[in-house]
Amino acid sequence: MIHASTTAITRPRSLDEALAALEKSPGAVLLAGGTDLMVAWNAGERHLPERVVDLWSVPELATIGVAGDALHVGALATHSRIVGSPEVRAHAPALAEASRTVGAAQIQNRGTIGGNIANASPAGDTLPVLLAMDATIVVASRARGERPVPADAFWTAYRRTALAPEELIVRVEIARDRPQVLFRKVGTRRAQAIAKVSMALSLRRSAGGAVEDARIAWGSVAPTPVRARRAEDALRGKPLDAASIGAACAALPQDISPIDDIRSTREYRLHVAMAILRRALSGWVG
Amino acid sequence: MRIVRQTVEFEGRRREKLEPVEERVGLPLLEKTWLVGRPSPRVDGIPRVTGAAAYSTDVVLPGMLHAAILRSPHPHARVVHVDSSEAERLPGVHAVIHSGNVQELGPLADQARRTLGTTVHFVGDEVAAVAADDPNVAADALRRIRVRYEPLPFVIDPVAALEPGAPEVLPGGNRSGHERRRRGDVDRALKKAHVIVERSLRTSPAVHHAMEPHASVVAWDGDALVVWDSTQHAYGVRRQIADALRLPLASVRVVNRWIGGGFGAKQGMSAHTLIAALLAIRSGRPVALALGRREEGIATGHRPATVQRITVAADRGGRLVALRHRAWVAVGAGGYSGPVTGPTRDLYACPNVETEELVAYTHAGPACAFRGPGFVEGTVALELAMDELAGRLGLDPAQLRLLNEAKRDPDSNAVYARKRLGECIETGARLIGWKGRGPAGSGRGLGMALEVWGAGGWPPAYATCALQRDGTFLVSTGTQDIGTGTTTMLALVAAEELHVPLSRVRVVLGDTAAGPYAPVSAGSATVPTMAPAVRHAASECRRQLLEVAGQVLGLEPDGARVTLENGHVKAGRKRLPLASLGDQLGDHEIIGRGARGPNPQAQASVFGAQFAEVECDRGTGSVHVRRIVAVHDCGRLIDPLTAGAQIEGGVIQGLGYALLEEGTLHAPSGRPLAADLHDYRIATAMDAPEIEHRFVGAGEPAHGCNHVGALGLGEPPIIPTAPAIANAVAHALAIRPDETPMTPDRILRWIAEAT
Ligand SMILES: Cc1cc2nc3c(=O)[nH]c(=O)nc-3n(C[C@H](O)[C@H](O)[C@H](O)COP(=O)(O)OP(=O)(O)OC[C@H]3O[C@@H](n4cnc5c(N)ncnc54)[C@H](O)[C@@H]3O)c2cc1C
Repeated sequence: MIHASTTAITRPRSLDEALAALEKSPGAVLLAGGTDLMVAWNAGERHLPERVVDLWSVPELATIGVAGDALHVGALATHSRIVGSPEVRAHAPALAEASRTVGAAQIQNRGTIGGNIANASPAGDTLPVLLAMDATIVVASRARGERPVPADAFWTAYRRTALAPEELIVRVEIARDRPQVLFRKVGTRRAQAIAKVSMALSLRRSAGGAVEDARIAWGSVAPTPVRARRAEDALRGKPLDAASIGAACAALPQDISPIDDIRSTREYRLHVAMAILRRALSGWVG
Repeated sequence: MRIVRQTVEFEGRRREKLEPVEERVGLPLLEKTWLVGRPSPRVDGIPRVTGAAAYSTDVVLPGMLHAAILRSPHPHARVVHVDSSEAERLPGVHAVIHSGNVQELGPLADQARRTLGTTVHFVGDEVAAVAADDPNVAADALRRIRVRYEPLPFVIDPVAALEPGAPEVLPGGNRSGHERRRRGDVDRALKKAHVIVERSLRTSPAVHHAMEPHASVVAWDGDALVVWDSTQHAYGVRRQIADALRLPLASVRVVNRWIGGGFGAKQGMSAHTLIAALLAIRSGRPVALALGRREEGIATGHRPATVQRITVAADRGGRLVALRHRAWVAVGAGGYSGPVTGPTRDLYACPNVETEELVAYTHAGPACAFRGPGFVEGTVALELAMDELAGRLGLDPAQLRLLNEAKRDPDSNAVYARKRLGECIETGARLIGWKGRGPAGSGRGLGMALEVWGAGGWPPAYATCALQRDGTFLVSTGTQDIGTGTTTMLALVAAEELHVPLSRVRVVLGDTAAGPYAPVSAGSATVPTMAPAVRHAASECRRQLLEVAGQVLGLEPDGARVTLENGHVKAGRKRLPLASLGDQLGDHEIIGRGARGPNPQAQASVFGAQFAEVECDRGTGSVHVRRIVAVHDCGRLIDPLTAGAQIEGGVIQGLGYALLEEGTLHAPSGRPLAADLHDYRIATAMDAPEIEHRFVGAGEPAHGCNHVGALGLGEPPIIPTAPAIANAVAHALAIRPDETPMTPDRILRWIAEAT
């Protein structure tokens, strides 16, 4: 139950104002849609902070559009807007797919991609997709301006990120010439379910069919969203056949470290991760 | 008044009762109808969906305080000391009660100790309560109460709880019940049987999670107490409150006008209602106490966990020769269990049957009735075993069930009020495409299961029907509409009898001050209990009205040839609109009083068959229920729309029980693993299958049950869903499920076991 007479909320109207507010009080908690924060506050998992910077009215953070070779998705873009965006659908359809599986309509109307990224839950649905797309997460502070962080370097440990206290996430950039990404989520039910295992997979193949590049990213199977680098290596340079697929699946258990929790067991997660990888690779077209 | 002896069945248990019976309750069976049986949208649907309906939590009174309950974090502990001084000093706090200060309640201290005792028996047990100006202050105050506990050993498994030396839940031992029943000689029959199937099954606790949480508002009205309560039994709560607070019955009024579901968890006075009343006494203010979703999850009841073993045996031809069913049931601290082995006793014709139930108290929240209590859990075991038996005999599962249909109640040998189960099976098989059911193991499966449930209702129950001076009718009764459409159905029955449009009848219910006694809305009893009482009231009103009308029209004083048609009194060529009759009578009232008559001799069971089509994924272990076909017979339908809604709700809830819902406690700590709706998985709209339902004999009255010819339908639809899905999953993957819910990790385990 929230009972805070002592929390000061700042409501910046521009990115400059937001960065200034953050510089003034670096410990302030950024509030976007609040769908993670409110739950944590209500459950008493997190204490109400002294300062909150509410980003909801910062227009620069909410834009979605194409700039040059890249798709730009503002940190404040809600999952609903991502699902409905023609640009996202054209250039990063798997991101729209992942956003469509977040919570229910109410959560998607409020929850943002920036919140999903910064919350850094290993089960965050958009995170494996961003890894598979080799996305860049652009952060900014007033003192240093913008700083691009590759998705690969963003999630550093369980619920830890590369974000500095005075920084916020501005947008995500995704190159438009990336190969398409396949997204799979295995939840506890068919909607409104946190992932037990999720996977985002992209492959680039040569004219001859050999795998030139593979990015296989996972959610809910490690303390952070992770790439399965050994499994990727097992594919690289090989044709996509029973041998390479078998090798990739065999390597997978070394890449991930699932645990038992309320939603599933370690054993189940391992089994399912291998099963969906095998299926995705075996059915791969293009 | 005369006294009759009769059998009453409530939640699967039967007992003999003496009933005083009023004269003239014996109306002729309602044969042809003009209104009853037509799909009629709910008369109170709009306020329910617009938010205009004021549920208990919407009641706001001047000076009203908000209460909150401090609950135990331990599964078993002694409350050594409670220090509430800091909470009491918090501005806005008006009353704090706990085991350390209940003596200040004087004569009510003993009552208070029952809920706020010095021992806590489960995580979530009540320890202290506060009343404050607003809910946030109340929550803050709870955090300022310091409690010293001495943790004690605990037990949550029913088998372990019954072992010698197990930690005692309540004084007097952990054995809550031990029920054994037998007919014939099972051991002898097993020796001669051709095929014997043995199965075991573990079922998880399931939580009701009605849309509306438990909530009570308690206020004094002079020296009388008014309680707004989300309850399935207004009159029951009235009696329990009056008892607990030592008030005369007539000084307590319970209002439960709008209820957002109960499913069995709101059958009587809950602990929080008593706590709200004590806080109202302590503070001298109205007190509102609404439970939160987590409290619903841990402290308001659940379907108990079971461990079951079942043996079914048949002769060469497939006739059942023996059934043996044993169940261990964990009912928590002082909880209740339905008859888990009831279906084995009641569903099939079998000469040799042995059932045994070992019901154990455990350190969990008290279990309570939950839609089809016992039968839901037990039918899963029985029907899984029946399918395996069919497989071993090389018989079609539908055929095996038809072969063993009981023509009379197998336990009592009573004749049924109506039984058309064979038709249900055949219709369902046709609709699901049973003929095309391929071999097991293809990933796609078809499964079926049957259901039996006693749903005949019982007396006493009363209603009145009064002609208003504008020609409309007011039906008053102390029953309640827990979300099942009772208001609409009773209005239909009265309008049918009075031959007026539905809009001319108003039903008032859900208030002990507004209507006469009616029983708990449970046991699928509300329609078969209340419809006859209301019809009787309407018929009495009509009889008197016609007597008067005859005289107004200058005809026979006994009203013999006067009829009521289409809102008019008619005699020969003479027609008199009811409004003008009302006008002429002015404020003189014509009130008919109706009562539910006694139960006749027939066994008022209802039956149904459900079929499930599933698709299973061997890689992930996930199950997609594509379609459920549900064919039931519950006598005449009053309103096919509400009946269909019962089927849909029951099927979806049953699907959750089969695949998703798991209110399990964490064995090492005794804490709930899934207290809120994030972790406790209720089926969503996306999980819901396509549901096709049919009713057999919907337009015809059932004979030998009551004069409306209607039986109950609230609970039956949930009973066969989980076993039908389990059989479909078993067929899809050629596996032997032995646990519910059938979660993907378990399914992968069964696949591994089968290969
Ligand atoms: C019922 C329910 C179901 C859910 N289901 C899912 C699901 O299926 N899948 C899933 O992935 N998630 C789910 N979530 C979690 C949540 O909705 C998502 O993570 C969402 O994207 C969070 O976004 P938000 O804007 O609401 O974040 P907030 O709660 O506002 O913030 C979350 C965190 O991000 C930080 N933050 C926010 N914006 C920025 C920024 N621009 N820069 C730096 N830090 C920032 C905040 O300080 C905070 O630490 C669910 C939540 C609920 C309540």
